[in-house]
Amino acid sequence: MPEDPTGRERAPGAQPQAERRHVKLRRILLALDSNEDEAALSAAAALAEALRASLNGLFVEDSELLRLAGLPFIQEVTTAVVRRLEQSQLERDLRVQAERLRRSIERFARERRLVWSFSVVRGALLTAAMSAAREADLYVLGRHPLPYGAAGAPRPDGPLMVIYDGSVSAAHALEAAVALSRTGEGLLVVLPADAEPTAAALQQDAESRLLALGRPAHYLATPHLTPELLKQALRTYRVRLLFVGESCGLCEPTALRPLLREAPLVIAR
Amino acid sequence: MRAPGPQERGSGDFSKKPITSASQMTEISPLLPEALFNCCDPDQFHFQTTADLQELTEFVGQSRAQQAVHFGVGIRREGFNLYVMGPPGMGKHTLVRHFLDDKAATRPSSSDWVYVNNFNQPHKPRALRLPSGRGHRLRLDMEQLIDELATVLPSTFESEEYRTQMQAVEEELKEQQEHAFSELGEEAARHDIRLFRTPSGFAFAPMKGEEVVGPEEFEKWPKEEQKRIEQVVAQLQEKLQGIIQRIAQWRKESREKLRALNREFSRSAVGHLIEELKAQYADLPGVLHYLDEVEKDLVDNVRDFIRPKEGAEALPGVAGETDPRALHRYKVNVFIGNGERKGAPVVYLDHPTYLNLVGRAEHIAQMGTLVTDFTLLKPGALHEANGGYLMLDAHKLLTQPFAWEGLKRSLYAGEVRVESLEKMLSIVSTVALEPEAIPLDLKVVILGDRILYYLLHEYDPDFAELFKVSADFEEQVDRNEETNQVYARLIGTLIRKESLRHADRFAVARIIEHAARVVEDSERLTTHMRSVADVLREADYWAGEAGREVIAAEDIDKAIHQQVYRAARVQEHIYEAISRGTILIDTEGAKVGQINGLSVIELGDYSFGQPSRITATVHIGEGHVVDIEREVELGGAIHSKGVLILSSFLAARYATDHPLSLSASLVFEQSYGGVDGDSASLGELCALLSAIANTPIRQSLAITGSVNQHGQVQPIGGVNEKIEGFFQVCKARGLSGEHGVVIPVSNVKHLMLNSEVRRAAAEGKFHIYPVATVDEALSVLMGLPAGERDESGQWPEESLNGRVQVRLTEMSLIRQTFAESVKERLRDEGGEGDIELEGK
Repeated sequence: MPEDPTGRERAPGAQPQAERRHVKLRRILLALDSNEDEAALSAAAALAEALRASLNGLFVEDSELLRLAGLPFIQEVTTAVVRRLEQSQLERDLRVQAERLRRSIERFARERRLVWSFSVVRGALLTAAMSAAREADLYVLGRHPLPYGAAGAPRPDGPLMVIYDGSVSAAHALEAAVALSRTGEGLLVVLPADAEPTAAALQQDAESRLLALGRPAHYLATPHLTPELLKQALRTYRVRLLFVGESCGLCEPTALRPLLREAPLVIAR
Repeated sequence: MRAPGPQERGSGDFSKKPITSASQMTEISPLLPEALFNCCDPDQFHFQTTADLQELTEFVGQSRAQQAVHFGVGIRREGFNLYVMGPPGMGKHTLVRHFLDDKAATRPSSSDWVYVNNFNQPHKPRALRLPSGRGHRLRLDMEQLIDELATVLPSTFESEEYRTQMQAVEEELKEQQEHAFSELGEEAARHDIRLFRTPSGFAFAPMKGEEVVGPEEFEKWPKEEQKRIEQVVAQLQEKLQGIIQRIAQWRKESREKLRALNREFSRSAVGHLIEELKAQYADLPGVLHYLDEVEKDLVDNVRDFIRPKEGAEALPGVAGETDPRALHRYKVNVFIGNGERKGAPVVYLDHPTYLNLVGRAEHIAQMGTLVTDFTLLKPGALHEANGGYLMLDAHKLLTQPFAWEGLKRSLYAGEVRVESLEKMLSIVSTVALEPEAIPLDLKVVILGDRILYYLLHEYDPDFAELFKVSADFEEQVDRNEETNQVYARLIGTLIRKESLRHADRFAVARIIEHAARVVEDSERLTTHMRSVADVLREADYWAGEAGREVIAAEDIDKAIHQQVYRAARVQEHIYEAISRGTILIDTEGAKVGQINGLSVIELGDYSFGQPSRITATVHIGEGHVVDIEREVELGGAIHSKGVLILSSFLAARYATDHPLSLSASLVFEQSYGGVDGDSASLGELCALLSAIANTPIRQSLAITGSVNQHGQVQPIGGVNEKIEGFFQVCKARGLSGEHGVVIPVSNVKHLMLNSEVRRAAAEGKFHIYPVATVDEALSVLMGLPAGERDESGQWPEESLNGRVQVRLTEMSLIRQTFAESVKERLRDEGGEGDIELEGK
């Protein structure tokens, strides 16, 4: 909704009352590649259940991986062996992962009685996800952790973090976070504001929205929200899931990569 | 030939109405009524009712048993356990219990025992000994410790301090990894190469901008460049392998650091609480050692106190499942807790099964299987009585499978080990609890029958080793003025104990008379307390029915009468059969070779006398007396012995100068069951002599007594029942004054006949004749003098013995003549003529 008057240019707290209505988030896209992320899958399913939305799985076969497998000297290094990376083997492995994801989505959907779909595309995760996400209201990106990075993983009982900049997509992100948050669970709202009065206004706006949803939150105001700063916050608070609006300026592949190393991401449109 | 005088037959002159006896016509006088019953004079008691009497603290007539118990309980040596023997109902249990309670009160309290977890070998729980009462205290202290830790430990691990340190460790690992991969990535980037993650691992690929160089393009590269890239990739792969290996090591180090961190925080939280506890148990090294182990286990297993919330992760570095019963292992099972009790324990085990003796490990169902642990260990009686006394019933103990074996094993080992039967018998080999054995220091007192004592002594060599002291309870006590007084107090004590009405002195006298009848001895009293107590209980009931405040002699009589009446159904049927002529018993007239014998039938705890007809027949033969009962195997060994004695008697008395050429047979008529005992041998001899002498026996008399080879009459049992039995039969047909019973003179002191018989005797309608020899019996039964040998060794011809002698001589001559005629006939017929006739 680029022409929507509720864009981020507008002063926080000045939204018309009509905009406070809960927007129906009908379609959730879960995009994963060979970095399987159970937490992202669970979060997407839980969101779909909470919002009564459809769950659409998207498995992205990394085209770069397939290309490198074509090189004659490429070897795959695993914990156990070093072996020739065959393209046919790689394709088989990706199909296995895709099928595993499909079954998981099917199982979650059946358990929660959700409408679901599943598709496989070839390309780069972020590009493919953003391309497919045009039809989705929320899209969930799986975490890309460090290799062997069990340490420092998000805590299963860690807080949910929302970047709230007053935009419509940020409001949707906030609403989705509230829908997913459990009773008593921490909700961290990051307010990217250049000056104290603006931060206060954003907090007031967020508070009023959360009040309507009956959920309290903690607020963090930051004047310059950079991906590195956010990454540090995600690590410090062991954030379970990060919610952002697509208009927050962080949804570029270069900005997303470091964030995805720390936590799965939910992008609201 | 002897004519027994009154002095020889009892106390006082009991004889009257003489019957002519022996050659000198000595008279056998029937006993006076006073001789039939030893009355207890109520006037000897100087109390109105038993309420006036002091309670009796000692047992009547059991000084030997008391001393044995005193010795057995007092001596503290191995194997000096006690076997207290005597019939049931003697009051053994009461006496021993009373004694042990007194003794136990003077001894120090026994120790508490607790079972605790063995943290190194959980299937071998450890036993801890604590002073009396402190086992329970330790349990409470440990519960409190665990409760406190359940609060303290989570707060410790949720503290900012801990979280900061924990995250620092995690960050360090993360940084190490990031740094390694970052360096590798940078090195690769310098060669336009990037690290990719594959589904199973990693791979390096040359890049052109943001894209991987495709195979076709790579082929177009100069060979040198291709080779260089391949070499660089190979080097990078080697480095990557090194990183992967180092990551595993870093992660291990990180886990170790987290564990150390957890231990450090746990110790800080646990340490001071444990120290506080240790200060309380500083005097108990075993407990201190246990607390040290608890502390170590707590520090190592702190995760059990910090159970993650649902969906939350476990404590870092201590990943592992949380056992819901995990904290269970810090519990204390107070196996033996003496609480506030003073003195040593005295335990009577009513149901001495193996498990009730040595304890058991109980099981609970969990997830479809049965599980157990040290908290489910339950003590046996050996544990409960440890430090004190254990009382067991011999019969119950020996009839419970393996209980006796279990007891012996424990006593031999000097310790008791909770062990299942299947384990003891090696039936199963599954892993089972093996609790530490508890040292045993107790005295075992077994109460039982004499027969069991003697059998155990004979057949179980362990018994003599383990039960060196026996206490034998007397069943009778002398009856005299002093014991009468003590007995009166005993009755008063029983009445108090049972909360019955008190008895007046007439009732007391009546009970004493009954106590003499119970032991069938007018000069002794029973010490069988249950018999006396039962009569008192019943008399109390009848006194209540009669509306009396105290038990009177009538109530005692009624109680005794009712006891007899309730048990006398069979007796009445037999007497009725005699009255109706179904069982043939003559009670008048005289018959040759027929006599009324008397037997006793015992049915449970009731016995009664039954007259039986004994007949004898004689004919020429080889000197044998045939016992038909024995021939058909209805006679017991003792009965057979009595009959064989008759043969010897006959031969010794009458066949000194010629062979005993008769054969005789003896029968218990209408006897279809077994016959045993020799109390009929006197009657059988009289019947036999009657048959030989062809002299009739008075059927108005019955006889009982055994006889030896010299014709002396010996005492028998059940004399009262036998007399009363024949009396009942005669009474039913009408007493003529001729009726009576011949008994051994040595049984006179046993007479405690019922009032009905005594009354008939006093009225001259029924007589009891005491005899000392068979000759006396013969003279009473046949009205003839028995006779006495003259100087030439001959019996007077008209005496009974003379008739027997003549008849036996005739039979011998007939047999001799017959034998000679046969010889002659054979010689005439050309035979060998050397026939030997046996017995000639």
